[in-house]
Amino acid sequence: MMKNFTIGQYYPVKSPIHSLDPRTKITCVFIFIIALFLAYDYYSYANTIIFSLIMIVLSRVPLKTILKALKPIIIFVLITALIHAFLTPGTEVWRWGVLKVTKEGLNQAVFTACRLILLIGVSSLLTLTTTPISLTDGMESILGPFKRIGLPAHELAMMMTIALRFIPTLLEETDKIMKAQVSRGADFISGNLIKKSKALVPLLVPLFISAFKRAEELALAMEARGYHGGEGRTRMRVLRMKSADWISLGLVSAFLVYMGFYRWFM
Amino acid sequence: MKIKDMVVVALFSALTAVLSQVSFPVPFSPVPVTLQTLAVYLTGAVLGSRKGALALIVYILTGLFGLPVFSLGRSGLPVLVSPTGGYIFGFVFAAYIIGKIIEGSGNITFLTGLKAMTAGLLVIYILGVGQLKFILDLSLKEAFVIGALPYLALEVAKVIMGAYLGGRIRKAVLNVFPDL
Repeated sequence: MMKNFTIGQYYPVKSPIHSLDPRTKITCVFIFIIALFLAYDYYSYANTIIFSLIMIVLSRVPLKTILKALKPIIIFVLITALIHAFLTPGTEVWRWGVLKVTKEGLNQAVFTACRLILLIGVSSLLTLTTTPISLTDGMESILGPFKRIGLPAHELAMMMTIALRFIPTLLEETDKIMKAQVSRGADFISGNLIKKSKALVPLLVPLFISAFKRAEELALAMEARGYHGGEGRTRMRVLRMKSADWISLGLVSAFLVYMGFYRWFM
Repeated sequence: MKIKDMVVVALFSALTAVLSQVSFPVPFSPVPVTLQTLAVYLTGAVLGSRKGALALIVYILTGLFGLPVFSLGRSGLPVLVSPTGGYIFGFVFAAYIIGKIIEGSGNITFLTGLKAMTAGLLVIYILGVGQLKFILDLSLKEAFVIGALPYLALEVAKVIMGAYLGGRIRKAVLNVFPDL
């Protein structure tokens, strides 16, 4: 199983984007995604491409690293480009037997490909320029105001930290149980579906029960040390918005307004 | 929220992360098949609606913030906004519905498990195909052919597996921890 389980994709360099507040980055990415979905012709897509390239250059993350994030979607880009190019009705530009490519189809293919590449490329910047810990802090702070309507911001952040801590432990445990059962004659590989699901019982039952046991021990340990939730808790890293954060938020919002204006009023 | 509930939910999201790493590719399609959905069914069946859904929310958030918990060790916002991200959002609702149906029927038999997990499967695919259609600008038929058709047989197999395992694991866990 996962032997090289590296935690996080953070790319450690110093850049104007790296030093932004995590809350700024989370908000900016979402505003940019909305703006991206407002693009609908060559001019507006050109604008979003330029805006994304500026962000990528500012982040000082090498283009190669971002291209790596794009690898899983290449096949989607190809499939949908083909579907759009061949199946959109409109003015015919090329024909081969029953297959015909239309002008509208080609445009649609280019737009969808652009949208997908920009969507994945820019959203990969978020985790490339921010550590998981500061993203968790940022989320806790963004969700903080929703506590009144019952959204457990602090509890969510705490559960994420606990999950993070226990993933390697449970991986090891799975490995151990599998080996123990195989040494007793269990067979996880061969056999039909019924045999395979029966073989999973002696793996999953101990795994689930051990997860519960660990949970019980950890809950007891937390109570014994006086854990009582987020109320009145202080923290080592305090998030502070700087002027660069407000400027970035302003720029991205201006871009959204501009894209909306171009779409509906020009 | 009780501390113990919190910890149990956290451990189930870790468990989902671990089971998501067992995956194998399917020919002619860009989406791999994993034990991820089986983990979702079992989380819903063992933890129930509210805690099950919460465990999957925590799972998505840990992935969103860069931990390689999604299938094939992927992580980050790109996975969630990509064409196949809808299936992952579907997990939360699937776990909730599975938990609700099982809680509603009291004891869990193979048949209620089957009913609950089929409902869960439907929810996952409605959201999955929906996002595929929206992001790639496809027609519903095209999205269905790319995003659902190639997997249906295997998914039905996993539903049957989930129904069989769900009852057994819930019983085994309740034997040891009656106050779940």
